[in-house]
Parts: sequence; structure tokens; C-alpha cells
Amino acid sequence: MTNVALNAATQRANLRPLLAAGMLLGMGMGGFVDGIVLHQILQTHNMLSARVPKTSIPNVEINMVWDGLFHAFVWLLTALGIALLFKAGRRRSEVPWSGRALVGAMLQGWGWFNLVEGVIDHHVLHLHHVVERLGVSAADYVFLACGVLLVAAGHLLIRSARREAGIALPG
Amino acid sequence: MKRAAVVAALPAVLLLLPCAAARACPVCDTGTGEAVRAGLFDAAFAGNLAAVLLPFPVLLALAALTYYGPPAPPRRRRGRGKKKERPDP
Repeated sequence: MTNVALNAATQRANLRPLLAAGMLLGMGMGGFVDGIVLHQILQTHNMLSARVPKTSIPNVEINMVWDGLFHAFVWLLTALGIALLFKAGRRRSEVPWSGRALVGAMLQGWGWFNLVEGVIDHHVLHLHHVVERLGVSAADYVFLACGVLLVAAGHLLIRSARREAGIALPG
Repeated sequence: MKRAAVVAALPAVLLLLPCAAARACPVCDTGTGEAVRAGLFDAAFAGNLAAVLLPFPVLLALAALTYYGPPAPPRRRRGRGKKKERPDP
């Protein structure tokens, strides 16, 4: 590619569709990690376990229904991410196809999921806590800290992908 | 015609089979099922629904911000710009 063509391609290059797709996929998959590992396998909490304690079969089932609703919306985030990724794939002339950017955005999405869900559900609304029998505990802060680390790691990967593609911040 | 009716009814039958076995699902006509429904659709239902769904608009807004944010400024290449001319002494 000539310098002129390379320069024009660099100016047109836009990572945003890929980043938005990766972010939604990361939010969805982060939600599934929470739902599958903490709600279902370890059962340290459920969606409304601070409001409806799991002390009887009906209460366990009520929590299961709310868990299902949570999973349904996490599924929608993932589906939207796949749709955006497909759309980005059809705009290859302007969207740099970078695996590093995609993984970085997915890490950021997972991190944002932890931060948003952690702050709203664990600390503001007190719908549940990471380890329900402890209430607000160190585990809730570790959950948030993981979110910060994931966002930071994603940011570094995306920055490196931008450098590689020759795109200036913040696009 | 008969085959079409059987095929059409199959999903409903498949849905009802586990219901009969579980006896405690939210849509089952049992004492536990009623207790689950009563616990779900009580006075707190709307509040619980709003609370459970609240993180999702925030997450979608973050993704939308990423997608529709301002376009990237073109990257300047080092050493390519015109050098400033020094004023004559």
C-alpha cells in the first residue's frame, strides 16, 4: 500500500464498532461467570438472596426465577455483542480487525459488569452480596477490585492495539 | 392433519412433563408452586423487577458510549510537519 493510501486508511480506521461488540460480549460473559459460578455452582448467593433468604424451597425457587431473569438479560447483552461483531466484520475496510482490541474490550466489558453490578446490587440496593451469609464483606470489595483490574488490563490491550493500527485516541 | 396436530402439541407436552415430575416449579399447580407464585408476585414485585434490571441500562449506555462516541482525531506523524522557520536575527 502506498503512503497516501495507508494514511487515508489510517484516518478512516475506526475501532469503535469492534470495541463496542467486545465490550457487550465481555459484559455478557462476565455476567454468565457470575451467574454460573457464584449463583449456581458455588451458590454463595442468588439474585435476591439478601431480600428473600434461601431458608425454604419456595424461597430458593423465587431466587431461581430472578436468577433466570438475570441470565436472560445477560444472554441479550451477549447476543447484541455477537450482532455488533458481525456488523463490524462487514466493515473491514474501516474497522481494523484486531484480536488484541477485541480481547481488551471483552476484559473491559467484564470489568464494567463487575463494577456496575457490584456497586448497584451489592452496595446500593443490597439485593445480594458475594457471600450472602457474611453480608457486605471483603468478597464484595474483591469483586469490585477484580472489575478495576479487568478494566485496566483491557485498556492496556486496547491502547496497544491502537498503536499497532496507528489510530489516535480515543476512537 | 393428525400428524400436524401432534407436532403442534409436542412442545406443550414437553413443557408439562417436567412440571409434573418437579411438583415445585413456579407454574406447577401444587402447594409449593402456589407459594412460589405468591412470593414472586407480591407487593414488592415491581420494585424487585426494577432493581434486578437496573444494571442493564447502565451497561448498555456504556456500550452505546463506546459505539457512538466522538470520532478519533487523525494521528499526527512525528517529524512530518513543517518545521517552524526561525526569525532572522
